[in-house]
This record gives sequence, C-alpha cells and structure tokens, in this order.
Amino acid sequence: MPGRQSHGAPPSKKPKPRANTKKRSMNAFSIASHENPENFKIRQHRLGAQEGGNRPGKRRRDDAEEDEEDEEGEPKKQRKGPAKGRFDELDIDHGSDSEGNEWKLGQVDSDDDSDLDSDEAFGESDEERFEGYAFSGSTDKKSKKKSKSRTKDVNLDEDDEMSDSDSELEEGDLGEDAVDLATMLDMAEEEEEAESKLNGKARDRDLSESDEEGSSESDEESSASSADDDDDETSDPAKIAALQRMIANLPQADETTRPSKQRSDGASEYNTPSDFGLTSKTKLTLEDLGLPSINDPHIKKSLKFIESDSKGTGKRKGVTAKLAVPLAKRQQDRLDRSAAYEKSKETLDRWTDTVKHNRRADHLMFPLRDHEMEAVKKNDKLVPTNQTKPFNELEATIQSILEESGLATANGKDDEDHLREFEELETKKMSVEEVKARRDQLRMARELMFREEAKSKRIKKIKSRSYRKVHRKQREKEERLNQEALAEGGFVPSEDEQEAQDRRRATERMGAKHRGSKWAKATKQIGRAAWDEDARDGITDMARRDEDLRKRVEGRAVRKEFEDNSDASVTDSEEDISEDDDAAEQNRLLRQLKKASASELMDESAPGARLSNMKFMRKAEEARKKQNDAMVEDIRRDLVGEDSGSEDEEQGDIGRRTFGPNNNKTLETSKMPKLNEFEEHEGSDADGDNMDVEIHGLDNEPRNTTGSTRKPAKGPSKKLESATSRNQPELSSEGGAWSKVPLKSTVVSEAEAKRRRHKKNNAVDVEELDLSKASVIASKPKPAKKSKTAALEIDSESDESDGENGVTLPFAIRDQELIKRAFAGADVVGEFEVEKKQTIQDDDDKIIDNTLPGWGSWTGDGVSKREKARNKGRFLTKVEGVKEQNRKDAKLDRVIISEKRVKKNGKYLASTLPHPFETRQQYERSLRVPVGPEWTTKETYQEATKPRVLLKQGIIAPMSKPLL
Amino acid sequence: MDEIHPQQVRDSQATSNNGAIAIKRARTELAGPTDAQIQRRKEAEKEYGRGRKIHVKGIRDKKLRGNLKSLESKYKTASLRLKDSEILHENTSGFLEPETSLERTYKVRQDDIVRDVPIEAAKKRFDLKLDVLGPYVCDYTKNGRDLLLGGRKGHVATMDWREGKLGCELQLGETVRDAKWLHNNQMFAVAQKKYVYIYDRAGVEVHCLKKHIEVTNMEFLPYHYLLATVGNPGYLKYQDVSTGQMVIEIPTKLGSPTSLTQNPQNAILHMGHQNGTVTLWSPNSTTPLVKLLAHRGPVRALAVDREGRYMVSTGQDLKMSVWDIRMFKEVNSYFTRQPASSVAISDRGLTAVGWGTSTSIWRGLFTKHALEQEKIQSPYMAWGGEGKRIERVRWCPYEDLLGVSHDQGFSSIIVPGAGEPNFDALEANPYENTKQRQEAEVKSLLNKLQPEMISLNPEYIANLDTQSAEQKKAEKDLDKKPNPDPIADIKNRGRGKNSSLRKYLRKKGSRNIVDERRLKIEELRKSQNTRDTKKLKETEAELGPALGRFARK
Repeated sequence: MPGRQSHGAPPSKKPKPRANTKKRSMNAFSIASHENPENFKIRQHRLGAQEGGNRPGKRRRDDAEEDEEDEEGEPKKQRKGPAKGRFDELDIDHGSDSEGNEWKLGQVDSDDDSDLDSDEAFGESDEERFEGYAFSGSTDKKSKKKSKSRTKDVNLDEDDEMSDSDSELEEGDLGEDAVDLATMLDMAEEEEEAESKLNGKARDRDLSESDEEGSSESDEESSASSADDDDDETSDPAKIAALQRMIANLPQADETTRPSKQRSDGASEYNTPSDFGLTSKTKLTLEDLGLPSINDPHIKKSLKFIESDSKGTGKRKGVTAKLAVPLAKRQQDRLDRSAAYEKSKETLDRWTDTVKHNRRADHLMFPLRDHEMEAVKKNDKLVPTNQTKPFNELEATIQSILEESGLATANGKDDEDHLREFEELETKKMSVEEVKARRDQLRMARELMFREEAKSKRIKKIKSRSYRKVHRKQREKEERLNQEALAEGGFVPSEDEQEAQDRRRATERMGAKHRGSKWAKATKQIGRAAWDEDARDGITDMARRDEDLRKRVEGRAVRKEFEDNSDASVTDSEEDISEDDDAAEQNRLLRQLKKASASELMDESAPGARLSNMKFMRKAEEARKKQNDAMVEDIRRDLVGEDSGSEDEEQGDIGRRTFGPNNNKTLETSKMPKLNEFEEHEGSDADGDNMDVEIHGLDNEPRNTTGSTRKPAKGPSKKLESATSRNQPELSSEGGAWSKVPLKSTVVSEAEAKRRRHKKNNAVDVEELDLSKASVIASKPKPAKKSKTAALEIDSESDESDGENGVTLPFAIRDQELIKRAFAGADVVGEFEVEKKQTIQDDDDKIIDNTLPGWGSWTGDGVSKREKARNKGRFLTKVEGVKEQNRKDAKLDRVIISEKRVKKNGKYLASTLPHPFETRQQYERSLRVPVGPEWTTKETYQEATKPRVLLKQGIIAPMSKPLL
Repeated sequence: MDEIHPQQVRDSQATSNNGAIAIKRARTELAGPTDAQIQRRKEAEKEYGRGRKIHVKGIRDKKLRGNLKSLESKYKTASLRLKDSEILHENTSGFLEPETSLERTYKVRQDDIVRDVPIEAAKKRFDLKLDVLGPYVCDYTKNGRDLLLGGRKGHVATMDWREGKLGCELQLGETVRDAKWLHNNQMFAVAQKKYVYIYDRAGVEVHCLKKHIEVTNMEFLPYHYLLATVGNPGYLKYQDVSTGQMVIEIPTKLGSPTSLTQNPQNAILHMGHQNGTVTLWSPNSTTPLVKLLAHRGPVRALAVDREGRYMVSTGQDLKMSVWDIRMFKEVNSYFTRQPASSVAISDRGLTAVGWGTSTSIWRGLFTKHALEQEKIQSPYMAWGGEGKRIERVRWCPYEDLLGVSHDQGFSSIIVPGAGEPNFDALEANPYENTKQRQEAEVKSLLNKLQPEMISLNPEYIANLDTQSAEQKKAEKDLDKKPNPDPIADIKNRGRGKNSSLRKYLRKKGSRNIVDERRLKIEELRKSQNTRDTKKLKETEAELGPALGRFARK
C-alpha cells in the first residue's frame, strides 16, 4: 500500500509541494534558460528510460552515500556506474545545451537507457519535474538547506483548507500527473521530516523506507513517492478511469503546462480564471478526486500535521512570507514561452556568426573541416629536442671537442654571457646611486677614449697627407727631370707613351681626391663647412674643380644628376691644379665676381632681415655695394683686358679639341671671335636658338655651362639686338618652305623654343628646327654653321676615336644645312596647320540653316538681294560638336587626334552601369585585373577561378557546433 | 600600505633594468607594415599595379563596399605576388658597363664581345653572305627561333638560325618588297611584285592574296590574326588569316607610305608618310585615329616599344624623334648622319637604328618611370661602317641579338642586355617542340581577338559607354531595314538545275560554311524535292504505265 500512503501523505504536506511548485514557477526563467525545444525532447526520451530505473532520487542517494540497500533490486547496482554518469551528464547536458550539442549527449544516454526498464506511467510529464530535480541537484548541498528553510517559510502562510482543497483537487485532477504532485508532496514531507525528526511517527513500512532514503540525503525524493503512486494507480483501476476522464476534460494536459497547472490551482483561490473550468469557489474534497475518504490514520495524521505545521509556522513567522499570487496559466505560459524563446534565440544566435561567415565566404569546401579532428591530426610535437644538450653520442663528442678547443663553452654560454651575468648580479647588490655613478663614470671614460682616438686619427691623417704630398712632388720632379733628359738625348716619347702618360695623369687627377674622399666625407659628416671658413672654401673649390675637370674630359656641360652620384674626382690640393687651368680659374673668378655683384636685398625670412632692410641700413649697404661693384668692375676689366688677346686659344682649351675642316682658324679670319665648337657664333647669323642661349647664359651663367664658358665682356646682348633687328625684315621678306606663313607665328615659336629651353635645365638643348631660322637660312646660306647637338657630340667623339665612320662633323653640319634647304620645297608644317584647322572646323559645333527657299517668302528671279538675305537664316539648328578648346589635341600643335566615335568599338561597351555599382569608376575598377593565367601568378589565377562551393569525398555532416 | 606596495615593486624593477621592461615576445602582427614592406608594396604597385585605387570609404552600400574592399586587397596581393614571383626569373639582364668614365661602350667591337662571351653565346654571332640578290629584309618569329630573309631580287629563305638549319629556300623570280612571318613558323607572307603570297614552312605557295596589290609594307597582328598591308596605291588592307576574310580596306589618301609598324600593346598601326606625318590606324575607322607631324621629310622608319609608350621615328630630314604616344608629345629629337633606313626597339628598350652602312644602338632613349626624359649623348653600341648598306634591323626576341639585313646578306650581332632574359611560355616559348607549338596555335586561335576590339586604349572592353542618350538617338539609323529574311525573296521556282534555291546556294551559300541559313535552305530544298517527286509519281500513276514515261518532270 505504498500508493495509499503516498496519497495520504500529500494533503498533510500540502504546503510543501506548493512551495516546491512555487519555487519552480518562480524560477521558470531559470528552468527555461536551461532548456530549449530540443532539450525537451531529449530529456523526455532519456527520462522515460530513467523511469524504468524508477528512482532518480534513489540514484542520487546512491551517489551520495553508496548505500547498500538492495530494495530497489538488481538494477540499482547495475545502474550505479552509469547513473552517476547520467547525473553528471545531466548537468553537463545543461551546460552543453548552452553550447548547442545537447542531442549528441542525448544519444549517448539513450544507449545507456536501454538497459533500464522504462515506465510508461511516468511519461513525459515527469520530464519537467525531473528538470526541477536536476536544478536542485545541480545546486550543491550547501544551498539545499537554504532552499529548504525557504520552502518552509513559504509554506507557513498557506491556509489549511486551501491547501486541502488544493491537494484534493490535484489528486482528483491529475491522473498521471497526480503522481507528480504526490511525489512533490511526499518529497516535501520527507524534507520536513528530515528536519523535524518525525520519521517514525507517520509512516508505514514502505514509506519509511523511502523516507529513510529521503532523509539520508533529503533531496527531492519524487521517485520514491512516484513509485508509490504508480502502485496506487495500478491497484485502483476505477480511480484511474475517473482520473482519465478528468484528464480528458482538461484542454491541455501536456507536460509543458504541467507546473503552471498547479499554479493555476493556486490562482483559483484568488478568483483568477482557471483552465480547468472550475471556479475558485468550488471546494475540492478528496471525494471529488475519487477518493471517498481517507481511512488511513497515517495519512490523516500527516494531513493534520501539515495543517498544524503550516499554522504553527504561520503564527511563528508572521504574514510577511505570504506567497505572491501565482500568475494565470496563460500569462505564465506566455512568460515561459518568451523566456524559452529568448533562450532558444540565444542559442541560435550563437550560430549567426558562423552562418554569416559561411555566407560571405568566397569559397566553401564540403565536408566542412572539423576542428576537433584537425586538432587530433595536427602534429606539431616533433620539435622539442633540447638544443642546449647534445642529443646523441656524436653530438656529445663534438660538443666536448668544441669545449676542449675553446670554441664552445659548457651549457651554451660563453664568457661574455658569464661576465654579463656576473655584472648584473653585482648591480643588483648595489644601490641606485652607486649604479648611476658607475655608469656615468663609464660613459665619461668612453667619451674620453674616443675623443683621443678621433684626435689621433686626424693628426695621423694630416701627417700622412703632408708626407704623401712631399713624396709625390719628389716623384714628379724626378720624372720631369728624366723626361727632360730623354728629350735632350733626342729621345722623343712615342705617341703611345704620351697617351699613356696623359691617361695616367687624367686618372690621377680624377681619382686622387674627390667627392668620395675621406676629407670630403668627413667635412660633410661633421658639417664643418658651416663654421669652418677653410673647409667651406675647400668644398667650393672641390665643386668647381669637379665641374671644370668634367668639362675638360667631356667637353660639354655636365648634367646635374650625373654630378650627384658620380664618383669622378676632384682634387683638393693646390698641386693638382695645373697651369693650364688658368682659364677655368678665370671663369671661376668671374663667376664669383658676378655672384658678389649680384647680391640683392636680404631675404625677408632670414634672421635679422628686418633690421638689415631698414632704410639707413640699406643706405649703408648700398654705399658699400657701390664700392664693391666698382671693385668688381675693376677686377673684371683687368681680367678681360688680360685675356682678350688670347681668347681663342683659351676657348679652344676648354673641352675636347676637335679636328676637321671646320676647326681651322682660317675660316675665322674675320673679326668674329671663335667660340667653343659647341657654341654658335654670336654674330654669325640670326640663329634665334643661339640668341636664346646667349641671353640665357647672361641671365644665369652658372646654370648654363655653355654660357659660362663665354666671355661676358663682349657685350653680346647688343650684338644680338642688332642681329635680330637685322633679321626681322629678312624674315618677313623670305617665305621659305619651312616657314609658317605669318610672321607672328615665328615669334611665337621662338618664344616657345625659348620656353622649352628653360624647361630643360642643364641638359644640352635639343636642336630645334625653328621655322624662322629656317627661312633665314634658306635665304642666305652661310658657310658651315655649328650647332650644338647630340649628334655633333657623338661625331666629335667618334672622330677622335678613329674616324671609323668617315663622316666628319662639319660635313654632317653642312648636311643639316643642305637638308633644311632640300626640304624647303614642301611646306609640310603649313599644310599640317591648315589640315588641323580644317578638322577643328569640321568637328566643331555647326549651325545648319534649314530655311527652305520659297517657304514663307518669294523665291526665284526678281527677288532682291535684300529679300534673299532676310530670308536666309530664319530656321537655324545647331549641331553639337567638339569645341576647339575641348579637343584632345588642343594643346598639341603637331598632332591631330580624331574626335570621332569609333562605332565598331561600341559593340564591346557596357550600355548601362551594372547593378551594384554606384559609379563608373567602381565598375571599371572591378574589371581591372584580368583573370587569365597569363597576367597573374598561378596562385592568384586559381584563387580567382576557384568555384564557390567545393565538394570533396566524405560525409557532409551538419556542423556539430558553431565554428566561430 | 597595500596601495604602495606594487609601486615599490615597480620601482625596484625599474632600477634593476633601467626602466625598460623586456618584452618576451613582441607582438609584431598587430604592428603596421615595416618600411621594407611598404617599399616592396610600392615597388609592386609601380611595376604590376593596375591603375589607381578607388575610394572605398565613401560607398554607402555596405555590400558593395565590402566587395570592392576585398577586390582592392585582392589586386594588391596579386601585384605583390607578381613581384614575389620575380624570384622565379632565373636569368638576369646586364648591359655593357664602362669601367672608367673615359671608356665608351660604343667603341666595343663585336670581336671583343665574341671573344669574351661563352662559346654558346658567341655562336649566335654570325654573318650570312648573300651579296647577289640583296638587299634583304628580315623577320623573326614571335619566339625568336626562326628567321625569314627576303632578298629584293626574289630570294626568300627561312632558317632555324640557332641550328643553322635551312627551312626552305625559294627563288621567286620577281621583286620581293617585304616578308613577314605569320602567327608561327609554319607560314609566312611575302609581298611580291604584284600580289602578296602566303607560303608554308616548306615553301609551298598556299595563298595568293590578289586583293593586296603592290604591297610595300606588311604587318601581322598576332593576337587578331590580321595581316595588314599597305602598298603604293596607299590602301591599308586588313585580312584575317584565320578565316581568310578581308576585314577592311581603308584608303589612306596620303599616297604611297614610307613605313609601317604596329604598336604591340594595342595593335594600332603606325604609318609614316611622304609628308612627314605619322598616322595611326585601326581597322574600325576609315580615318586615322591620330595624325602627327613627326618630320619635315618622308618618315623613313618607325618603331614602337613593347609597352606601347614610346615611338621612335626617323625621317629623311636626318632626324630621329622619340614620341610619347600616350600623350602624343615629342620627347626628344636626335640627329642621324644619314637618313635612317630602319629602327627597332628591343624588349628591354634598346633602340637600334640602321643608317647608311652602320647601325647604332641607343640605350635609354626613353625611361618609362622618369618624369622628364633625358637626352642621351652617345649611343650604347655601334656596328657597321663596312660598306654594307643596312636595309632592316630587327631584334631577336628573347636573345641579346640584333639581326641586321643589308645588301650583302644578313648579320646577327650580339648586343648585351637587349633581349628579355626570361620568357613566358604561355606567351612565346623559344624552346617549344612540335606538340607545344600545335597546342599554342590552337589556344591562340581560341583566344583570337576580334578586329573590332582594336582601339587606342585596349582596356576599353566592357567599360561603360559614356555616350549620351541624345547621341545614341542621333546615331541610330532610322532607315535601316529590320533584318530581312534572306530566303523570303527567293523566287518560287522549284524545278530543274536552276531552281531558285539551288541557284541561291550556288551563288551565296559559301560552300564550307554550314550555318543556320544554309541548313534552312537545304531543308527547304529537300521538302521541295519530295514534293516534286510525289507529284511526278502521281501524274505517272494517272497516266498509266504506258504514258507515264512522258510525264513532265
């Protein structure tokens, strides 16, 4: 009769289950938070099996104290191991629920379940209860007591009758579910008993047994009571039928609403609508529940006990612990649902990242990679051999040999390391001040040491320099003497020897001291030039000599970039300047003079500029300047007077000497001074090109080397002026084939040429075929003219080499001349201009007169001209074209670019901007890199052509957990 | 005290290690790219970059922004990878370098070079003495393996110059003006006295292109399979050698041309004329795309560099000018001592100029990354001056060789640093075998570009059409008839040898082209035939066996 007893027990212990249910309802959220739809199913599945074991409580107890009671029979022992695991898993299950792999564990359990016999009576409804157990079970034993006391408190304020009716109602109400309630009551009772030590009083044998179990661990002992309940049900089929009928009346009696049902019972007291169609006023008795009366004195007693207990406690603790009104079932359901939804959403949310990632992934490969499998497969544990210690015998021997020979030290540290370690240890012992002082000392010592070193180095250098100087002088002297002796002896050095000597000399000059020399580097590094006058002079000297030398070697202007990174040399000692450098020296002087005379107002930005720009300061400055200028002028005059006679030779000196018909001075019998071969005669003719150069040279001499080689004293500008003035009329009179017809254009082109010349800074200018020049040339052919061109340069050089090409420079120049004349017949440029104009006109906007003669006016003979004119432009349409300034070739005077649209190409153009793109640039950019293997690396190509989804052999299983 | 304690600890630490706390493992992955990396990126961008980036941040659409961002990063990695893959270039190029500043590279003679280079390389220097039938023109195949020589007096020969094996030798018996290899060494075209002929590898005449009359200059566009010729009448003709169709005939209206070359980058033809202009042509327009005045006299020779950036032209006016043909600006101009007869630019940017009896080779006439082009003072190398009048200079692809054909035959001279040292076998394989050649041929035919794709900017394909709607409307031909059915207006004459369908097929149905139209016609014909035979049988049956034989067919 355990069932009976269990039935009897509940009424007395009514408040307890209430509290329990209450508790459960209160932490509905937590319940929901640990369960989700999948969870339910699995739990149910498993619990069904557990039911077969039919004593979760028992099991738990087993866990706790390893009881030897064999009342449960053989399954207990068998279950012992797995049961433990089960409960562990239960908890883990919850945890793993949150990780989303519930079902996996469930499957494992189902296997275990197979050896437990299942109990249908428990069914799904228990699942939830069990859930509750799980929670309480999961909360450890410390918290248990607390919860117990709490339940007690809660119980106190329950009315007796209400609790009675409730219990009755429940018993009547819930067929199978009644088991649930009963269990609860039972459990509560047991708990109570455990506390109040009322064990033996109100129990029969069966119950006490379960009580013992319960009291031993005082967990929820639902299973025991449920077992009782089961017994009860099976024993009384009529009652079961009644219960079933009752259940049939219930609109929803599924397990999910189970707890709320009980709550709603509670709620009915407060006139909240119940789901059962029972008004709250109707009192449920045990009879209603199909239990005619409680005959069992034990049950009665227990009922009474519950009453008294609740009352007593209520009196003891007052009204504060009154239970909050349970929510209506529907509301509760809603809450549950929302909580469950939240929970499930949370669970699902864990997948969003993964899903997003996979959706956005460029490539997916199925089956998806499993991290766990990969972790297993990954084998990165092959490395860890100890490298300091020898691994095998061979290594050990080698190590020992090394150690013996002092190439290696024991345990991998060398002396340095030891020292450092030692020092560190030392410093650790010392105080901060000490350490600091020591460090300072060290620093000082080092400084001193190096200062001395630097000093000594410098001294040494100076020493060696002077030493070498002396020696070289001696050597040179000897050599000279030698040669003189040879010459005296009638032994003339052969050409080869001479050349070799020259070469040696040149290389010496270039290689001895130059930009890359130590001195130069040192000065640069220290920035000595900033404060040391001497050093500065040296540097300028060096730069100048560099230029001069270069000029000498190459016979032309030096390019800037060449200058920058050249390691060609410049000497810095006086000995290296030979006597033949005089001309250059003069040039330099002149340049310096120029610089000096060209000093202007101080820059505003310079420090002290304001002061120096004030009036009185300027006055003084001016006075001084005047003085200076006078001086400069004097010097210049001197210089010029000095070299005016020997000008030709000097100029010939600079640069490489060239030989050829044009170079002989017989041509230059006229007054016109001969210039460098790369230069034009100043007054020879009106070669505008050269005029430009000339002017240019005067403007800023240092920039234009050709200009700088010229003697400024000649006052060429005047000559130039006269020359140009002489030329102008000729230009106009002569309309050569090479000319553009209007005079204006020649001026323009001249200006253009000039501009272009300015653009190219130091490079030798491109020879421009200036039209104006051409015409002049055509009109009065002159004897061979020189122009500085690259070709000439080459020629001159090749001439010098061995004249292998046979054509000498002057002929080539003459050819130029001839060619200019030869092509004088066809006015190519003019034609081109005309053509361009024509195309511009053709492509331009057009106005079309659509007026029909005779339409709205008279036509034919006899219509006056005025009439005709009036009717002319009445209907005009404008056809849009390409305006002159919008043309692609607007700024290119020798180019005509067709503005016509190439229709055939249109076939391959996109007519509209494809969808996702916002601008043309974006679209065209997206097409920019070709996919083909010819244009990219193999890797890129394969990446670009890889399909989005790759299928590989294997089982495509759903992801077990989120990847991210 | 508790608060102070850690401070003290820290202080003590500071004293022991100078305040700096050693980091065991520096987290470098979060730090930005190092200077070297940035430098590398820049280099890669400069060399392999594909134009300017677009601003991604301004894009409102998230998805588009993301896509474009990933695209940009892809481009970046692509260029970086290309840069990295340079490590696979096993060969490097080098030039003759003077040891001292007084040394001049152009003084180096071929003998010196031959003496100093390895034997295998020295073998590549050879002379062919063909002084009877010259002057010769020459041409190398795309992979540089075969050489084609055409003597003015009718002598045509092909050879594998490396092995010195003669492919074929022809004596055509009439003037040969130009000779050109087609897509590979299997066929070549020769411009003869009147027509252009195509010969196969063995010297068998394959085609006679009768539409190309008195051709003086030829060019072959390898990616489009177009043979472009221009002759004395001044008609520029494009013929598709893969289908045999004439693509277009364009009257240049500028008289007989003096030179012709192609821009390898965009397949535009550059033609030099008597009046000093150079015109740029594509088969898609009947007027020149660009016309520029390069010289005062006839333009003798033209060459365009591999990247299509610079053009070098020489004229009768003794000038050689370098043009930037993207901006259409003259970069520099130089003098030649005689009118240069031929110019060629090598893969590495060396320019060979053949003038008179000598050839000079210039280096650095243009440098693509320089802002301002430098004027070169002296040539890099020189050859000649031995009385051989230079007819044509051509660089041998993937070799440091310059082929010079002259009136005395052909000379192959070594020019260090001229050729591309690393070949791309997807493009041209100098060591290909027969199978590879065949496969490459098929592949290139499959990848053949259409003549309509030729444009000044070859990257225009699939770009957005910026033409306005008005323009489109204006261009639309309203009178155009809606594509007429070719069969509709065939007369319904169904019988006899001259049935209209048969006639149509005979006249217009190109024999070997089976297309939809042809199938349609044939089907029609078939049905007509069955109908006729049926009718005949009916009449025969009607007339009876005796008279049936008289039934009209």
